[in-house]
Amino acid sequence: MLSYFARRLLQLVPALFLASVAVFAIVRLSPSDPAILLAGGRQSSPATLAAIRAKYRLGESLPRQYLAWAGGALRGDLGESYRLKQSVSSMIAQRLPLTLQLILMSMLLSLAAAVPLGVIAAANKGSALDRIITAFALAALSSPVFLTGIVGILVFAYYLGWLPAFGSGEGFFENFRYLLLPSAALALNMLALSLRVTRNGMIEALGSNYVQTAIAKGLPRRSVLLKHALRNALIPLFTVAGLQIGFLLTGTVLVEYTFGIGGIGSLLVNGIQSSDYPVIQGATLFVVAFFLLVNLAVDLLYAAIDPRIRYS
Amino acid sequence: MKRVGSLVGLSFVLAAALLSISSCAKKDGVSGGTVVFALTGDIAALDPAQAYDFTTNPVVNCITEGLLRFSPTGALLPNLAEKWESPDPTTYIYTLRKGVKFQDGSPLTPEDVIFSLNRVRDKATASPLAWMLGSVKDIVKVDDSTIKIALSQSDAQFRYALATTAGHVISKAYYEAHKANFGKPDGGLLGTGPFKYVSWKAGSEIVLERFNDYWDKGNGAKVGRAVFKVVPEGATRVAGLKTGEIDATAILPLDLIAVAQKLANVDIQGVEGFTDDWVAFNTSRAPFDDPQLRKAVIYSFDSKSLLNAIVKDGGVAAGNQPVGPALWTYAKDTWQAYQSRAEGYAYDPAKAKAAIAASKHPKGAKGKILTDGDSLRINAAQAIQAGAKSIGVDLAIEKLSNEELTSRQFSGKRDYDIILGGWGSDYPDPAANVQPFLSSGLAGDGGSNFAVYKNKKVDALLDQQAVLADDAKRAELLIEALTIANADAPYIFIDHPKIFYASSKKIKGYTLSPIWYWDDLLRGVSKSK
Repeated sequence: MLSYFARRLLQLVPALFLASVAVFAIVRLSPSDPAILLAGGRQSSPATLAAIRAKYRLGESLPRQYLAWAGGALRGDLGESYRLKQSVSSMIAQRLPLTLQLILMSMLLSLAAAVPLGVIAAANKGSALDRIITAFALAALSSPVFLTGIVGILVFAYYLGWLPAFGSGEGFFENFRYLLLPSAALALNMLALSLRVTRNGMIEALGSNYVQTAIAKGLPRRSVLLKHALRNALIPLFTVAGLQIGFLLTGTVLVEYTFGIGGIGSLLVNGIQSSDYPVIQGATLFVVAFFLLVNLAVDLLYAAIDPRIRYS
Repeated sequence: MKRVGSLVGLSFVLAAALLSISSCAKKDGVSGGTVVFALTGDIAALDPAQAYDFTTNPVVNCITEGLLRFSPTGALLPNLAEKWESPDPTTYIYTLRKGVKFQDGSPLTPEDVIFSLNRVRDKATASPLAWMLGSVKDIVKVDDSTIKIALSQSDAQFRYALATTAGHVISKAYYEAHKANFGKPDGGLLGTGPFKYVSWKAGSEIVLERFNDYWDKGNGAKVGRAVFKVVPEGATRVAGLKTGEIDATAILPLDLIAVAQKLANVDIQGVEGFTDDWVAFNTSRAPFDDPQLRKAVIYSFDSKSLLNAIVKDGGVAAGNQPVGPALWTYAKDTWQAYQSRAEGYAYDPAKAKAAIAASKHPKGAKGKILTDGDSLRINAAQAIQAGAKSIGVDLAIEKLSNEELTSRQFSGKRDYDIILGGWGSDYPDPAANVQPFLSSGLAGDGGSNFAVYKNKKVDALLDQQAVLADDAKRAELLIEALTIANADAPYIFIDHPKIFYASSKKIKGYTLSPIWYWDDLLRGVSKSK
């Protein structure tokens, strides 16, 4: 188990290295010029641009720039933002709690809707109700978060005035109110996959021998559904949910922009809008590392949940 | 069973929470209230030397101030300097107001002023505003309330620089005590303005509070607190105005202005801007090095229909001139007379056909238009493309992100045939909308001569007016330069877009100016309950 864990951790190294090279290269392939954008995107003189390029070492060769950045990243220093002149590592650390709360709330909201709906759909397989639920999930999957987000703002903030239209508050509980709409928008988007996995898992479980046995023994239907079938159907859902955390992290980019939330996603968008190379590189590398670690954690926890799986 | 039960239970709790939570606005115990201003993005720094954009300036202008400031029509007013004079064209003498204090209680001194101006000039600061002080030779203290600025050459537009963020004064002592983190969230900024810095949560909000010892009693901060929130999405800002979560915002897209105008609790101010929506032909390479071909394309472009469909009353038709009526800040009659006689190249298919027949490309030509997704620009690009097609000129549209378009506009490589953009003057002076477009020295890296227009006669006229003190004479020289350039048709000026400012009806005290980005938008502003 321990050696398996060590091996998996070691595998992260080449993945992170490749990711760092890729993001470094892609950022520099972009035709935007950070010096021109740093000069305010307005008229400036060649002397001003030269001063800006020198200050941010933009004239140096690419391998040298990469080594300087990657060397710092190894020590946990992701460099300093061109535009904000702040340490990228501390900018990520400051914004992380808000994004994590957004991810957590979206995850819970989506599971809270997907699991019951999936069970109901499976229990009524082939019925009109099943088809309505499946169609709803498909519609939710296909509506982009910036659209559902704006509609949510219009309905719950603009017309009804129940929830704040944008932004965030202080601390976990005040943020709960602020993040309800954005996490609901994200949850709607993710719901389809979890629902599908729950539904298929339940259908499979309901057809299995042990459930048939339970039914034959005359156990109440509710007990068979929730105790015998659902517990086993939830195992694949666990893997899917783990993967979805990674996708959620990218989903927050659009949601944070729409709702004016200052998390990792808006950090990335701001970075791209101002060609702030260290911010784009640092935030992207962080997202990649986060995604890989979550997957690793899911794999390890899988063994804990499902006694049939053993790592060696 | 238990775990599953609690999961199902949780879904009901969450659903109930979603439905039952109603807005319970936080009680605002601050005297004078809190005004919430929505920004389109985060600020660059709490530093006037880096304040040269539409998000950083509204915040910084509340904390630091210039020696001078602008009236809503662009006239220069005394501010930290109570008077100033220019005994000769290369000397400016400023008398500092007495009794001005920084927000920590320390007095404003000539040393602070000199330090602040020199910091903007210093290459190591890499200030985007450095060019404004480009003609300054040196700055000296005359006595405890007077400074003297010597210019290396006469500069007609220098007088405006000290009313911009380039002329803002920071505390020298504070800067030196916070060198490592000055302008950052933990280092902050100390100035003499009506609001002092409290906190900056990067990416979300900046909080300021009233400075009670402000020198201009009665015209400082009337609200207790100012909160600047970052809300990039325009539709979200409009929703915030409606719900009262936002009190004011400066930048809204044209289509959302129409929505905000219908809100009962919102006032919209709109003024004609010192602005241009422009189209530049690259005159340094084929095929648009040929003035006849440029004219053919302009004549074939139906700009009137475009304005009626897209801009409506959000702007003023430009008649192909860069200087709009709002910017006739001197010699108004002379400008008006020029505008009425200048060739506007209005849509005329017959003239377009005649021009292309007389050009080097009677059988047509090919080229590329660069634009971003801005609704006016993309529609203008399509209208130009359609018009050009009717005279056999085949134009392909390349749509870029706004950042890339900006990079391409100001890159010295000038790798385009036609490029679109927007322009807003930094100064209330017609020259600020002429020189940048036409001066050959500005065709290089970072320069704003997007058409790479080079004409020695035009350059000579522009240089001549730049050093004169007589504004009437300057207007004549500028118009002479414009007349020559207009005959060469390097640009299309479509319209002068209006500037809009949206605020809650509870907010009173700010009059919108075309150069609002140099204003302290919250100075003297009050909020009723």
